[in-house]
Amino acid sequence: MNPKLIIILAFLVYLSPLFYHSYLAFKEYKKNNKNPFRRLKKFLKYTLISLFVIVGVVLTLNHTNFLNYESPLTYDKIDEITFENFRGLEFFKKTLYGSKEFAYVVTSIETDIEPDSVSVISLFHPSRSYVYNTHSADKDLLTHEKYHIKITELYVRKIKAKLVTLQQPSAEEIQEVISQFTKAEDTYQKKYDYDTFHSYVLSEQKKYEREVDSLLESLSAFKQPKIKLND
Amino acid sequence: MTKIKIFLSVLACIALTNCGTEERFPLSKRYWDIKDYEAVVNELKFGYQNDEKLPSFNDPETRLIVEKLTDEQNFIVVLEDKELGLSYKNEVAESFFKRWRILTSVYTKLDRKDKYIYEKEMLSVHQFGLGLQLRYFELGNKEIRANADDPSASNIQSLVKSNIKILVNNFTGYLDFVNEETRFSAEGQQFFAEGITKYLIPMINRYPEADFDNLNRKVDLLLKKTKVPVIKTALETLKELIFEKINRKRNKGESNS
Repeated sequence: MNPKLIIILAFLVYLSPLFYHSYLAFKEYKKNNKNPFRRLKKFLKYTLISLFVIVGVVLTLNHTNFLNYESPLTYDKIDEITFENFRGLEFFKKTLYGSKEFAYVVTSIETDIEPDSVSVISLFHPSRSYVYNTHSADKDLLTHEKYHIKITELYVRKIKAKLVTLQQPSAEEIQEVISQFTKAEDTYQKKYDYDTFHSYVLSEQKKYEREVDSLLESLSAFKQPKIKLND
Repeated sequence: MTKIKIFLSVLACIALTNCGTEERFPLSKRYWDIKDYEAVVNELKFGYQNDEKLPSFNDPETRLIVEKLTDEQNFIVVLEDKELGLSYKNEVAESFFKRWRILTSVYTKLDRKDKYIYEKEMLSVHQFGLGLQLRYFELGNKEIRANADDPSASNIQSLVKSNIKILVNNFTGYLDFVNEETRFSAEGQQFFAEGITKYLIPMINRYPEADFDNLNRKVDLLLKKTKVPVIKTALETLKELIFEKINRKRNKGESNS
């Protein structure tokens, strides 16, 4: 069944006592009995507050699982990452293309611009990354997800490689380069998922692994988070 | 109380009736795997009423379903992947083959004039199966050789040969449709004839040493029987190729003796 419809139905069921009270209040209001109307206002207030709290908690936990939190990991921890680190919760997406056995990683590029240097790092967010089973032994799935992290690191290194070629770049110019490569990273991540069909096409997966590893190696000079800018 | 009951009944009805095409067929998925085929074949076989229109190529709303269903990339992407293991590929091929066999009975309905209602769909399903079998039997034979202590041992050779014989027989079966050529429209006859060129010729070229005697005899008989020029031409091309392979085999045998 359509997940959107499930949410709508859940809301309707949740709000059904409210509808019932509204019906009673309007019926009694016509008879000049304002007590049910006052009760309705009070009921509405508490319903909306509790709804707001429930929705807020669900959305927050779906975004970041603070109940099982692990702080973001830097790229140097890549070899230590296992599915045990995928601590995120997923309330809405139950399948990926019909398969319940799916995972996703959340990565980000963090920057810190200083007058004579820039620090650019890639981060893996364990509490925002999800796997259907943290004890899964599916090596192919884990490898596929870890290459998403590697791709982010690749673009971090590309950013640094580009920045060192600029002469006295302004903060705006630096920001422009970062945003350009961040967009390119997003496109590459999507292409990676499309071409490998989330690792189903193993030959494509291996092709990407070779390409990403080789590019990371070629940019190994930009492993360190901080680069000095040209004066 | 009655109003609440009505309200809940309406909700239940909305929930139960809200199953669209995407829920029945995973159309947004790039490739359909074995699980998808299992679900889709079951849906096509048991999810439609007797008089209900099946997904077809000429219906814009359901065209994509048949295109996906008969897309050979669904198995090629696994069976021709050099990174995957032979046993795994064989398992997948076998599963595809099992589903395909069930699928062959889905689009076989005739109208009151004894014409196929879903001729292109039925032929596409058959052609999908020919493409699949070409890879399935090859993988099966590869695994037999790989698991044998001595791949050139006579019992292994004979097992491989017998598999190829089954494959040739299965491909020969496609020609049975010539006996039903009047059940097809001109377009269907054309599509069927294209299948001969597209699938039987590569099969013969892949196994030139196979025993084509039965196929040869059948082609001879059907050449006399068919009244459709486009089918005749396809059969003649096939006949020439078989003749060439048989002659080459005979010459090779003579030169060896």
